[in-house]
Amino acid sequence: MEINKKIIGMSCAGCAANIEKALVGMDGVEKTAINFATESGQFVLRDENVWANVSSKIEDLGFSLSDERKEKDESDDLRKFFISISLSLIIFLLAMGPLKNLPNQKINWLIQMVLALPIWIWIGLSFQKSVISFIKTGQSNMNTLIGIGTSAAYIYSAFVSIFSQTSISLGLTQRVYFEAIGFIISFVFLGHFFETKAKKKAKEALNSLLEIGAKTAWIIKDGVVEEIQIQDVQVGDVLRVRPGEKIPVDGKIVKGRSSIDESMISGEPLPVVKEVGGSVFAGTINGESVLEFKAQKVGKDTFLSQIVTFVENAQNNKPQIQRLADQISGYFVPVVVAIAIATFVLWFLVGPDPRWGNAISNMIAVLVIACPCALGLATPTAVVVATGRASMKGLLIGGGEVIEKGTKINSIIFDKTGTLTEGKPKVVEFKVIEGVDKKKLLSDIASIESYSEHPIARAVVKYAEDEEADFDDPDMFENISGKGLEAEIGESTYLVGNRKLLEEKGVSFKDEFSPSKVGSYVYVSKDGKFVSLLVVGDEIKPEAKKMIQDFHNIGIETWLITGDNEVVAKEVVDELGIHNFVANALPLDKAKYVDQIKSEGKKVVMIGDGVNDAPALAKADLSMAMGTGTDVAINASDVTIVHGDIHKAYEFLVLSRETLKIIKQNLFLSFIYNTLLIPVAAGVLYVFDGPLMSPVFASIAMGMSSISVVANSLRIRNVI
Amino acid sequence: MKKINFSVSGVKCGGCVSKLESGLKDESGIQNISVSIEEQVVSLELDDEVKPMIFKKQIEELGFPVSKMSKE
Repeated sequence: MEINKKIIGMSCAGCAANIEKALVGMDGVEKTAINFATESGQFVLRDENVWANVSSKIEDLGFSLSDERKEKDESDDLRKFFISISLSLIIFLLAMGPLKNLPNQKINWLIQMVLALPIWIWIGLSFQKSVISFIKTGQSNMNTLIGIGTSAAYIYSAFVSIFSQTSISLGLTQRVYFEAIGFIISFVFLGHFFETKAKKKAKEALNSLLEIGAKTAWIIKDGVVEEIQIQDVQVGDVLRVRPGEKIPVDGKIVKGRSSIDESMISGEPLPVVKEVGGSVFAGTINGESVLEFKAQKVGKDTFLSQIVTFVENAQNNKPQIQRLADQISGYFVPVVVAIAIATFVLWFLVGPDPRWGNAISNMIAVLVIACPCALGLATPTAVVVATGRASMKGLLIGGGEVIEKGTKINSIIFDKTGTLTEGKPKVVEFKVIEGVDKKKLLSDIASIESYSEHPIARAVVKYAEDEEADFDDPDMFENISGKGLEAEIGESTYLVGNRKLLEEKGVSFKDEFSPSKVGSYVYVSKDGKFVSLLVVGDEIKPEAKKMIQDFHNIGIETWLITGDNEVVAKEVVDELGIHNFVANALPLDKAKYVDQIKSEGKKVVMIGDGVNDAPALAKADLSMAMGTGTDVAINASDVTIVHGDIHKAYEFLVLSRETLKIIKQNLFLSFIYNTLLIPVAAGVLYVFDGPLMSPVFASIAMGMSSISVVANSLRIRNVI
Repeated sequence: MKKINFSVSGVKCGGCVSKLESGLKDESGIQNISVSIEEQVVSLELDDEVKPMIFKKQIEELGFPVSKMSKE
């Protein structure tokens, strides 16, 4: 049996990994997939009885389960930040500012204590919970470090404030750390705010996939047309679609002929002409005329639904990288705890009297000073500066994780259509046989093509308009379905269409008259004699070549996976110097190729713009979408390139590498001041007649590290 | 004055004919409209300066794909 639950309290990918680790090998648990981004878990169990064990295990780890898929709101984090920072500023004024010692020390401390209480236990609840799970399981991350520091600080400070006489007689050092608690938690929440905002964006992907589909359909029953809800459509129903409407379900055309925009499915910009017998897909848009078709696949079975399921599964099974700050904290926490215990033991055994008081005071001092205030800022400030800079440059980045992922990338995959090419069909070649008036012929061809709705015909008309050709009216015009047009202008009879059309009408070719460009070929004959060839193609974007070069220069391997045939793919690859390519890839296959490349140990970034790319985008280690593409691709992606300029993909990778460098420096800066102060807090200096720990030291360390971190982060502005 | 014949598909009954006639009759440049169900042909008599192409589009928008057009 399979159970899907919402898991609340996962603050990082490490948490998800911890849950999986704990459940692996449990009796009756066949498979688990925990997704940090969607805050959900999928459990495959032998039977219902196993669930009780699984759920209690998860709750033991400090997470809670719920059926309801409640969306976490980033405004919640922002609100908590504002409450926390306002209280902290008041506490700061009471502790070190102009209100110091007013009205007297005891009352002053009690006021601070009351103000800090909600920060510690309400806003900082998740940190305190992770301390409990650390005690139970030994697993730790950034939250644990913050939880230990703030809890130790609060309990100690509150004790000293309330039981001042007792604490003096115990020999506890008379100091409080309330403002430290406030600032640490405030800054972490500011960081949370940025992260939640990014995560929310990822969740919208699936919703927008479903929104592509039509909501209602027009059914023809006993000659009457009636509007019904999409879920009521049955296989075998005959449905009508008017021009401009979305095809509601998959099916086969039984009446009519129209060009259909399938770009949201295939990514191809050219509409496809379909007639009786042709297949249509849910979510695509009908072109110029009315179609009637028989429903063949409805509900979960449509091609669109399959893609939705695919993306959902891909996102669920995707490993999340552990945040750098958590990784470091994971090592740091046990060390700090060990130092704190050693401090306690040493002061108790060999320290001066009062032994209890000194041992406890100094142990607490170690725990408090070890919690670096700037740790919560190290990643977010760098990310904020980087994303701010990026958005000025037309790149939308989905958060800090994305930047960390970006630095690991060593391969890039392009899907040709719309990313490397202009995505707008146009005439790239117009050849005529000798002795023909090119301009007059173009006028005639365009006059004929202007009667066709076909996208290739429109490209020809556009070309003729740009060449300022005159348009005439054909005296006769016939649309030979699937092949082209036959028309009469004045005394001449023209055939305009594919090679098959001309061959069937007995027109002979000069084979040496072959096109040099790749695209769709339009052959033209006049009075039974071949006269001209037009190539309607999609041109490579001018900036694409330089970009491929840039990627190679920073050691990134390039791949092209395309639905186009070998010839077209080869031409694009050769022209751009791309390393590898796969041609004739079906939409759903693209994801398979991404997996294949990943299995060779490559870290893959995928760039796409159509719905068909969504599964592959979801599979890739990092995904980028063109802002000019469909919403689904944008929502399924980590990075959006606003104006569709692919060179930005390169800039992003450079930015992410530089940003990670800064983040690492920030983490060092945030740890260094506090780490240097650990020996002071532990009382090492005291041995050499130096001072013991004072809250002022903690504040100086916080101030120094925060300023260093922020100043360092600002340097990212100069990267791109 | 010129007469243009459009070969169409889907003209089934008098309803389709009147749909075509009422859809086209207010267009300027058309002098006369006749629709044949048997031959699946819409014949328009047009002023000389009028381009038949707009009427091809008009007929298709009414739901009858045009496969052929000829001047009589």
